[in-house]
Amino acid sequence: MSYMQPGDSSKRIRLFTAFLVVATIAFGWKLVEFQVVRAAEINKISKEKRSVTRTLPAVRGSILDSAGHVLARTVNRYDINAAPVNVAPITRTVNGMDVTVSVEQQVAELAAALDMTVEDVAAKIQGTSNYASLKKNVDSETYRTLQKLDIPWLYFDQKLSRVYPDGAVAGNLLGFVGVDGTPLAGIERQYNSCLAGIDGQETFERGATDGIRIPNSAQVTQKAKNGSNVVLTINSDLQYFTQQVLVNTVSNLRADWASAVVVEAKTGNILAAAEAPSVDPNKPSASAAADRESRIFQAVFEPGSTMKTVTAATVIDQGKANPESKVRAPYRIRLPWGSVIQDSHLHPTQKLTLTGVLRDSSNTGIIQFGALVDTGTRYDYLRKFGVGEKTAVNFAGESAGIINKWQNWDKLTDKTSMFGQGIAVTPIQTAFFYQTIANGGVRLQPRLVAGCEDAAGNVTSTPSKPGVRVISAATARSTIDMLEKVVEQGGIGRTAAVSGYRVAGKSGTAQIKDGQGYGYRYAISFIGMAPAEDPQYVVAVTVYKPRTVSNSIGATPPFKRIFEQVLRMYRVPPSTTKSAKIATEW
Amino acid sequence: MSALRSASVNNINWTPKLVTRTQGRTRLMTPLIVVLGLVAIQILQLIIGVFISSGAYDLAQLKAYKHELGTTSEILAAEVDSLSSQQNLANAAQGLGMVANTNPVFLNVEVQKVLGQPKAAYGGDSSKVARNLVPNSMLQSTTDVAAIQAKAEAAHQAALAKAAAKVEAKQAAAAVADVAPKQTTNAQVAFSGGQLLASPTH
Repeated sequence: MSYMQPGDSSKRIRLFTAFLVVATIAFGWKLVEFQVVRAAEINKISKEKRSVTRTLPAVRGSILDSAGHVLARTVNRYDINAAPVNVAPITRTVNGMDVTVSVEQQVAELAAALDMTVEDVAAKIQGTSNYASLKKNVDSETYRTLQKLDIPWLYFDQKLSRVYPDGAVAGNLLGFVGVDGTPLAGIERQYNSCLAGIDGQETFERGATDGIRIPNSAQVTQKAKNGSNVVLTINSDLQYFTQQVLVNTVSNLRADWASAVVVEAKTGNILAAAEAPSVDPNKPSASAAADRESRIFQAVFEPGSTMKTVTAATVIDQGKANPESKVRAPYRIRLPWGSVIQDSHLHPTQKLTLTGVLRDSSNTGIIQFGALVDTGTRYDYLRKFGVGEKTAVNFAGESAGIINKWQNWDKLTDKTSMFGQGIAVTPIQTAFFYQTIANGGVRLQPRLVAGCEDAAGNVTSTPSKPGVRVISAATARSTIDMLEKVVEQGGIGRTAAVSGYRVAGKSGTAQIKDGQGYGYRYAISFIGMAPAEDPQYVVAVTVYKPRTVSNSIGATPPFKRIFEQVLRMYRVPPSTTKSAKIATEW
Repeated sequence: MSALRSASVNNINWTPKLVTRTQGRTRLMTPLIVVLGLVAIQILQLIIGVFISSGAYDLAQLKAYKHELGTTSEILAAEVDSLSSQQNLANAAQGLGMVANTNPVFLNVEVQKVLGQPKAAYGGDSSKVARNLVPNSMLQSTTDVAAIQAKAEAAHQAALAKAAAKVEAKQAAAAVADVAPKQTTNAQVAFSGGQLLASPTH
């Protein structure tokens, strides 16, 4: 129990009250200043100190084959770095016991995990710097192994990287990306707008002392949008098989390169576009520069006798001849201005029909038939068949081929163009000459990319151009019937026959320009379709500059093996009908 | 506050006044409540702070776990990619001595016809699956052909041993039957769906 003191108490209370009022006003003023007057400024300074901005990397889309098999995907990779200044023995708990691990032992463990020598690792961690790069781009398995070592002076930088699980399968088509992820070639480059996503951005705050992210502080300022998938028309199994055959062919024939295209005749879908040598997009630098691109779309050469089919179809379509129209085909014809056109092999004058001309691949025969149609019309047909025009695939660096205006042709080109000289085409163009015939005379545009598939699985199909009627359906049928005789009776054509099926096709042995004239090596090819009664598929094989053969006999074995596989893979029943009866001689 | 006011009013004619126990307690209660309130707020703030901190660490832990799972998933995907690549399959097929039959035969149910000429595939050089010729630097995990062959061989040996044991058992049973009264020896048959006779053997 106590008593209040008179006088003093009142004074103290007044003073205390005054102090409280002043303090409240002062704090109130500061409060208003911080919370209202300078609120925005202080907030900004505070946030800048605590907040961290981070890029949310968008994952690049995959490239899939027609069945959804992944040909290219994006994965995590790690750069392995060290802080040499912190290198020291460490303590590990093994079976409940603390064990000291020496630096030498740590280096040995690292070397084993990184597939490096102990000396290399030891050299990299010398010194007192805070940073040393040990190895870049290691996979997740190695990263996991390193994590388990629990070495405190080891640091991992995670990044996205591109891998191609099937290696060189379709490598020439897929292209590749650079170290920084920039698409450099092929589909990767051409369809970057579909594959590439849009990086996002995130801002979050973290504690000043522990650096731990403060919960609920994250603000996604821009959401990352992952890339979409590109779906190809390619069948990766068939592509692999075709590449296998071509590697074997190039090796056997000691050729510079070989290509093969498999086309679905009724849709224009490219089921395989194989080349040898090819490129493994995981390691493009291991291939020569010329092998990293796609010769199927880029290489141009004079096609040779495979063009006789186009000339024959033109003549029939113009009503100037039929498959049994007759001609005398000598070994050699001297033209009025002195030039000479001759066949590939010496023979007496033959009495051939147009079908026989194709069967024997007679140059002297075809120029006589071709002459029945004027030059301008033949030129128009060549253009309608697609010579001199890039395909709708519009592959990076694709060539349109070479064809001069017919008015600029000299007299010899007027003749040689009938059997594939004086004009130049790409392998994809030659394949589509035959697709046109297989498809009843309507040339379709090749399709390599089916579409762009977003995350929800919606596919935006690649716009397709309508087909162009080049020759009548009847002409196409007659041409197929004639080509069937090439495979049934031709010296080389017979080696392209596929047991159980009716096959129609044509060989080509084209001279290759070498300086002013032609060299001694050739571009050999065989292009055909099956089953001939209702062609479903077209296969076009080209072998460039083989050293062990000088005619198209080298192109038929790969053609046959590929076609056997195509017919089996797509469950095409063997033929049950016989070819049309057409006279080849008279 | 009322005490203050009465004190200032009574200051003019101040007379000593005993402050009762109840009045003193009332005066103490207000600051006590304020202090207790402040302490309670501080404790609450502390508890929330602990929860938030704990949540932050939990979140960091869960993120690390998610990263671990992602890494595991990538390692497995790489293994599957490698094992299912055409190069590995071709090598495995060749290692196991597989041959490709280039004479497909189809059965057309509609017209009840066999299409094609059936021919057995043989192990000639042209029929054998070729070794892989297409490079793939991503080929890391490969099929263990030797293990498959060893397993197949072990299964084959086990089947042979089982068959031999069966034969022996049958012979022993036959020896017993010879001394036993003769029984009817009608072949055993099993009925399938009550329609067709099916062989009891497999």
